Amino acid sequence: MSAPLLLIGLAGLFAWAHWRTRRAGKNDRWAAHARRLAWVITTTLAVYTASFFLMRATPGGPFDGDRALAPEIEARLRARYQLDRPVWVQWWNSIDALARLDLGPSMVLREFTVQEILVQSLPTSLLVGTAAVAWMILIGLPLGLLAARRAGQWPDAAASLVAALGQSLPTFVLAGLLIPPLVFGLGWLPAAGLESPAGLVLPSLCLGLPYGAQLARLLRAGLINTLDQDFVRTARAKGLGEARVISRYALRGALVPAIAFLGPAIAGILTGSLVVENLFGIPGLGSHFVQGALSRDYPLALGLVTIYTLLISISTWICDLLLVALDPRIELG
Amino acid sequence: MRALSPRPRRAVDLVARLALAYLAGLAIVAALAPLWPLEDPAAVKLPRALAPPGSAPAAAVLAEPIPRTGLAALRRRLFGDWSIGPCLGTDDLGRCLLSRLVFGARVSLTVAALASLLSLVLGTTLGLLAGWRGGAFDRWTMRVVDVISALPMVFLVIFVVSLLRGVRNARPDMDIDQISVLLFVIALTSWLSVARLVRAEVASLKQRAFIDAAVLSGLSERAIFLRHLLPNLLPIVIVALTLNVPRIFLFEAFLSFLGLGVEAPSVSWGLLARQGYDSLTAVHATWWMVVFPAAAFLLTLLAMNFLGDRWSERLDPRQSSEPVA
Repeated sequence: MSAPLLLIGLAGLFAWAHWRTRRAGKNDRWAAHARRLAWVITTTLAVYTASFFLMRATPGGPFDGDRALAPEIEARLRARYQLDRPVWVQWWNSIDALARLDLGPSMVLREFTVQEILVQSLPTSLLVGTAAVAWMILIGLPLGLLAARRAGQWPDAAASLVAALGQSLPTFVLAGLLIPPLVFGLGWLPAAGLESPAGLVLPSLCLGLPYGAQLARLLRAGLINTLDQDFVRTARAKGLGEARVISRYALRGALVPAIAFLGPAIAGILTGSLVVENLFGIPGLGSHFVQGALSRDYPLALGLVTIYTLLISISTWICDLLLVALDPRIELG
Repeated sequence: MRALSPRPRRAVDLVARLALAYLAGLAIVAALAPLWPLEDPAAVKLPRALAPPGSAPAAAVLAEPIPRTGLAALRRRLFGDWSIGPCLGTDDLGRCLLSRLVFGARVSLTVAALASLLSLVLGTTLGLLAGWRGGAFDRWTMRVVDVISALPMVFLVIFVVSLLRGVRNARPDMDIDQISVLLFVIALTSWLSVARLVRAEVASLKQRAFIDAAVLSGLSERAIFLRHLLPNLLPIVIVALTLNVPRIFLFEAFLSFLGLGVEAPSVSWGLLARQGYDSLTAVHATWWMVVFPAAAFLLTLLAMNFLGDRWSERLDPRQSSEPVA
């Protein structure tokens, strides 16, 4: 019985955060983290529950594939996956399993459990996502710096144009434009698959470029703002070199909106990975998710919704931590 | 935020006007799509499949039976059987790409416009009530907004849409209109930012003297909403709209591209982008099927983004992404 334990723990976490806030004041870090963790778990459970009942409430099931199964076989299958029990019992059992971090067996890919599918596909998706974030920074940072340093001159105009173009080219359009020259024309990169590191370049570039463009715009705006503040003038007056002035002083202030954008950007990259994995034939979470939802593979689709919820919540949490580290005036909410 | 760049204002306004003109033109072309001398976007003509731009002969096709009223009848009056033909090439089934782009714009823009309007109405109503009433209602509405915005909405939408797809496959008799479902689902996910913006604005307007005067003069709540609050909310609502429209437009394209949005025989730009992508092989160089939809996306999103930036720069609102305490 792990679900009751989970719920009691969750309530305890909320209570502890409440108690701690009353004792240590409103700005206490530990209370904020405890509350945050409790909300992450609550959100995940809520999403799981809502998706669970949504899936069960709509007609169709995991066993109506191309061929109709014999009634006896379908009855046995339903019994095996406990689909013959009342929905509430099924829900409680699955929450119980979830509390033990057990996502159950896949009902369509019957040789696998959801965990096994996750173990195979999560690293792939994380690899592509990380590479996309790397592209985003690699493109956004220099472009934003260049535009801000030369504000109003032609490098600024050029960088801003590139950023505007990048922002207006969605991932799936970009892929169509980049594949013919790079894959078929020059033959530098493979069209699909992740067998070689070169296969990672194109998917992650398509995924990261639009966000890199937005990052560049945010950095430019932030830097122009900080570059004419007093502390930057003081740093320059002390005789510091331009590189040091920017990296140590101006950039720190300009990074705040950029880091704040990182949370939505990571969520967007996770979303975009659905398209990219589909396009480049990458066996990641995204392709399993769409397939699982379409084929009514209850445990698989639910497990992946849960994982995505967790990934997004945790990444926004980390971004908030970074924000607080950069700018102590910001409070953890 | 100040005006960020020492860009000459005149040039910016010229570009803004161009962007607005482009969007208005696109909307008119799309809205009157059946009027233009275009081929039927769904007419399959296999002999001229994958013809490059300008090379295939125009086919004189009209929808059968010929309608007696409406735009299509007027088109027949004006142009007869004549059509300008597939001057942007044809797809793998020989359908005219130009016509598909125009009819696709109709679907894509309709979904974007209606979904943003719907989210606007929803967000403005809730934001207005929350900001005006204050107290517990305000706290709980905003708590709900916070909780919903923490959800991975895109995944839930995909989840819902694919479930509905399954429903339709299992029960063809239920007749679910995919496009309206899409519209509602997208609208339901995008009212949050509007509600936040409007609530913050109302909360600050409430402190102003003219609202006190209106309340003291015994005006009904309805009259205060309609005459005093809504007109003052208009700028911020327009900002929310300009931020929402490109997002929703992209979202529809994203879903259609994944095969979860608009379906054949309807066309949308996302679907066209998908077709173009699928036509790419090392053997055929079907560049037109990729480049023209890409150009359509690029131009439209550029115009939308630019107008959005201009509006927010001009009206200087609070940042939409910031949670309002």
